[in-house]
Amino acid sequence: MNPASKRCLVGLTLLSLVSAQVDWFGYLESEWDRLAMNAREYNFGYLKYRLDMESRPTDRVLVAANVNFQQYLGETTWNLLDFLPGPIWKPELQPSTLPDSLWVTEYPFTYHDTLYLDNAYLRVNFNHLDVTLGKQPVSLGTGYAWNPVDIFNYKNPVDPTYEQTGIQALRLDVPLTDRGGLTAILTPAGGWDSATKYIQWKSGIGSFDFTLNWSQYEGVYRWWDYVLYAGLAPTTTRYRAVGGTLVGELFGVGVWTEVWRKTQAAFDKKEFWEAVAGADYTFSNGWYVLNEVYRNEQGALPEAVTLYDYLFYFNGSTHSLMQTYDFFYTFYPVGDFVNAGIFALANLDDHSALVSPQIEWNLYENGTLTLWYSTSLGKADTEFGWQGDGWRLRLRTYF
Amino acid sequence: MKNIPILFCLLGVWLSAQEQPDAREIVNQMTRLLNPASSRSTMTQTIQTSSGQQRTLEFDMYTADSGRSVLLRYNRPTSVKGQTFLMLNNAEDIWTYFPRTRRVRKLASSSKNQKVQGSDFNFSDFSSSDMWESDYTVHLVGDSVIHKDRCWKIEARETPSNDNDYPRIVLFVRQTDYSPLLMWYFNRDGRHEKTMTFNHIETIDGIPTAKAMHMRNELEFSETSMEVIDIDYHWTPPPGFFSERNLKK
Repeated sequence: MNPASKRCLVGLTLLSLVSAQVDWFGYLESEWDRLAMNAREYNFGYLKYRLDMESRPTDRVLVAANVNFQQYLGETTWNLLDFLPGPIWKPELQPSTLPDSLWVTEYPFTYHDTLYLDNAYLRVNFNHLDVTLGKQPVSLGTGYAWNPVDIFNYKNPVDPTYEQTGIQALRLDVPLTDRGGLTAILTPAGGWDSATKYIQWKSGIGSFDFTLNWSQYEGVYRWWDYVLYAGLAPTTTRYRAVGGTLVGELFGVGVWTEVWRKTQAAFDKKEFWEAVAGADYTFSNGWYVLNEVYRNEQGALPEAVTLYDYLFYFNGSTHSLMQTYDFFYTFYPVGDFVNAGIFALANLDDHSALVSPQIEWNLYENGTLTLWYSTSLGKADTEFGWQGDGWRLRLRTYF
Repeated sequence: MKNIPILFCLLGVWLSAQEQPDAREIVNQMTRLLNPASSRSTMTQTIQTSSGQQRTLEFDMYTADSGRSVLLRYNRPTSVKGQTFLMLNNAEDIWTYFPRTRRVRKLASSSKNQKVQGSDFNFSDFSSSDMWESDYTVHLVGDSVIHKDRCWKIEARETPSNDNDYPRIVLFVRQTDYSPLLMWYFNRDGRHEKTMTFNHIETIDGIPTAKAMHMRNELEFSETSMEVIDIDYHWTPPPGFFSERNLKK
């Protein structure tokens, strides 16, 4: 945490302590994972403690913050290369032109226990304006597994509803109607040009809500040819982007879509399209079905995927490794406070998929237990096909 | 002269028919009673499952436009604290807000007949509706006595426009003040699926108010009780209250 953040947190806390009663709450989450891959077994997990505080000095002011402490268990040092298909990285890191002694055999990284300020913000509601300042949750878009218009977060499609860490931003919301208004988000950076600027206009017609979105922001430029052949580091480039979202229903079926077109401000001014479309339905017996299709032109083509495409994806510079995906999710309430479901995430480009049955059990008023099993389908050199089987158990207790 | 007794009998029957309001009028009066112009209340909801598990939730509920607009905000337990539902147009449009992610999600109307937080109440139970007017034809089928209160027994059968799960509902409406005391819900298989009872009726601000409601699922043997902790019928929503902006507050 930098000194400014510390001062901000101390200030907010003092303000809330002296001005109003503070509401403290949070949760304790424990997760155990077991993964079998490449004839190896990995056991790992974490213990996470989240402490929230909220204070409302007046009806118009909210001060909120939370800190997370996360302690990692089991395997904490990993070799990144264990999680990439061999045919992807071996030609780069173990070329036949070099002797074995010069081959790269590992790329280690370690998860360290962390204590961090996840959110700390102040929100003031004026008559015709809401101002939110600080590290705050920002969530944009209508998609379930992917949100092309959300440039601030990178959802994991395997666990898309998990909370995201806060974004340092100034957010202004101007309500224009009961169903919409104008939102402006500005995230600080070294200068005005490198700051992220985002504007969204929202409205509704009939049973549909829609938004029009515009942004200018900096992202990593896919400069891999130069990285590979000229030894340059990946560089950032400014993007201008426009898009929109639509959500509503047709004949009782929930439908939504998001479209996002971003253009590089420099270099070859290349354009990338990103879009998602989905539908869901709940039957009268409680059975829920959702399907979402996603297309990302910034993803790699299956015949040309490289190590750098993986790195580009892992560091969050793009929402997907390849271009076309399908996400399917269904659940059924099998008993009192128990849902049994299954999701499938399919890469339609390389014909691989991850299939995961899961059970969610609301153990008691403030406790949930979730159990996942996942298995993969596809050839050994595909995105999901090379992955092994896994188990995950997550227990969360709120207080 | 010998026809006079018959005429008196016919007159008696006619007069008694005039005293008895017709089923539609009874149901309309009941609907008006259940859906005051606006209200603000705090309620608890206790869910008892067939296996004996129990959950207690507390929420604030705000209604306007005679129940067509509803905002429901959970206060406890912590696992759902701040989770909010906005229902407009008689729960045809539903938005839900998750405070941890600050995400608003619009739900399709197919979810309006789904259980809310695992209870035996669904979204449409929280919203008033024109359903008695548009989705059911009603018939007075007799009188009954419930807890010493004389009631009209009314049978409601669906019209083609009905989109909720119950093609037949039987209601018992108290004759003194049009308060509903009991409702039986029958599913599409003709089975008696739910029973709703209205208890502890008190007159608050001139409006007979059931301070306790109980819904029992006769097929799953689960039960949900709702108790009114506090209710204010004089509350009027400020402009823009039933909006996405307020959903996130």
